[in-house]
Amino acid sequence: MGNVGEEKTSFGEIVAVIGAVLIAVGVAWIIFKNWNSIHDILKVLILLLAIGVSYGVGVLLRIQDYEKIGNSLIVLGGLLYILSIFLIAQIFDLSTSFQVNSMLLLLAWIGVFVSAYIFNSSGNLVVAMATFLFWAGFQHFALLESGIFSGFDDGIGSFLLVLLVVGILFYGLSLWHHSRDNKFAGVYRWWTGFYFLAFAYIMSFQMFLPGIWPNGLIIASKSFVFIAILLVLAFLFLIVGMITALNRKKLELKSVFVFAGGLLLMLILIISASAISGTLGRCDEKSCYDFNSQSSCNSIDFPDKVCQWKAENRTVYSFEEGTGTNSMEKISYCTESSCFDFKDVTACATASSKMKCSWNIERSRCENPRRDFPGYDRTIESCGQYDNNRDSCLSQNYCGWTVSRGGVGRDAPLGLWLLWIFANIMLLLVILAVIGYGVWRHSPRLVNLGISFFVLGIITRYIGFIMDYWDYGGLSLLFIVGGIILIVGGWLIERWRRNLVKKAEKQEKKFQDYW
Amino acid sequence: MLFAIIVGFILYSSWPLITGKTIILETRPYDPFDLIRGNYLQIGYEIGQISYQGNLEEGDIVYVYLSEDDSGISRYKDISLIKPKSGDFIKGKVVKIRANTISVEYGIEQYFIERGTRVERGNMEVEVKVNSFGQGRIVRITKDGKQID
Repeated sequence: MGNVGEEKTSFGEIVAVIGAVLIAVGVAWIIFKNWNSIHDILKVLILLLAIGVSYGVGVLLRIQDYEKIGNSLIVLGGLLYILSIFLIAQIFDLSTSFQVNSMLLLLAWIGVFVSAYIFNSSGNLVVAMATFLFWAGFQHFALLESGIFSGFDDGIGSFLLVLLVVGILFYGLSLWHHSRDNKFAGVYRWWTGFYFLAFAYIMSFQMFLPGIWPNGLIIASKSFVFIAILLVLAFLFLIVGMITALNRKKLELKSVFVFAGGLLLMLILIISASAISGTLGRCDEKSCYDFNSQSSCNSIDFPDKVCQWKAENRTVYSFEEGTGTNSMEKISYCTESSCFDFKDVTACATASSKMKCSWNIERSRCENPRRDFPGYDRTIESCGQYDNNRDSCLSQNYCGWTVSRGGVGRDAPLGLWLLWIFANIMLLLVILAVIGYGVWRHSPRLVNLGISFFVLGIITRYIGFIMDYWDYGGLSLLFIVGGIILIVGGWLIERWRRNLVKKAEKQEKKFQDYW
Repeated sequence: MLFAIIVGFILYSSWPLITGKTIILETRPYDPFDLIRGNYLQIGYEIGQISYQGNLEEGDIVYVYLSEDDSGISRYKDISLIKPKSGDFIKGKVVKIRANTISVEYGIEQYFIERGTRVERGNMEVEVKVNSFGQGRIVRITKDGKQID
């Protein structure tokens, strides 16, 4: 059937198609240029029309044996649908918060996902899976109580669990589709590989390990509910997929054990990260400004400063073309008492002993000489002495804990090195598993995915090696040797990849159209 | 199926505009250096910063009672965790608590405008439609009586 379509293609038709595309682009350009002046109802109608035309023409072309063009238009319809969701949100000025964007992405991937099955479009399924990835990320971070921009106070452990759980979900879906000889099995297989590789790759970074479980093996409550729901769905599809595949002899029992073993290792890896996570970090003294109420401000007992609660009227100016209008507002805050507040020798002597104020005769002022010249020995700092000792740090109510954010490098403790080595071994095992699975299932794309992550891993480790040993002598030698390794390694990897892809290329005919 | 999702989404987004009551809110300078990020206007409201001493926590859903002044602007009157049965009110979420001031967001802090448009700050009023659930949607923004495009 495909041959009939190919025979019909002529030079004239190609020119006509190009002309049609140019007209479409021109019309689209006019619309976008004048988008803001188009009425909202008309905007919505244009979007709906574009989606309808794309899907309709796509289906028509498929019926007429123009499979590839038809499939492309159906994918375009899916992409236009996603665009419409966001444009409608813009029309109604919906909030740009994480939660609202997550809701939009949810509507987006559900719609494209359903259309993939209705129109039997692998392309749309790929688009739906890509959108799902963004949704899972946005929804997870929207649920974090501290929010994504609070320096990962909640850690990235829960996000890594999301990746793992979604990988299990897609593996179950791939088994179920494979048991029915459905071409979508390949798509789910690829995304399973992607999620597990992404999990292992992120865990292979030494700089992320301290921040995986900064507060211990604890997941924020709303995030926990999200992960639990995904987990239930994942195991449901996994069990159904495995049973169906085993019954139809599309799956061997040893595969189940291999998968379970791999999953167990990944779980051990992420749970063992809690042994080192949260233990590495800085302990710094809090500021008086951190205390938001009068009672907490008055009760905090710093060893070397005193806080006082102040209430004052502050003038607020509004900017308006040179003519300001002022308004007064009352604000209250907790601030540090300063030796400078004591204006004479007698008053200076009454200052709290913690502040270590003394009268400077030359400058005629009350000051703290020690605080003018802070030392760099953190071991004698009131909180600095608790660096890399989280529990002791937090036992002092005037100390604040900040998880180490990387840069530990060659100063990393032994525990962190061991965990990092374990994580990189896991990355290698997952890469080999994905490549092996790709060869077994005759999927060149899966093989390429595995090798891409292998190359990414090597380049990342090379850059990390350079950064950690930057100030060592012979940096130029390091670059030369590393470059030679990459060139030779690149040639060997490409040869290896081509061999594997050749082996994997003998796909079953009915799946040759896409995956 | 796709059209059903889109139509449903449009209905949900436009419901306050269809069923809501119109109120006028005064804005407060949000950022003295750059109000516009990308191609939307970030709006701060007078009712976005409320003096309050009580037991609210960040993340709480609150209902802010409003009363109209002589110039037709809806001003803050009271705040409650329970949805009022009558009167003018708008639903919001406590995003920050600092000393005796709480910051509340109502989901109407963004207004999309044409890329590259610069809007002079000050004297801006926002016309909002609020439905019986307290959900608000921006109808238009005016400056010195003229609508901003």
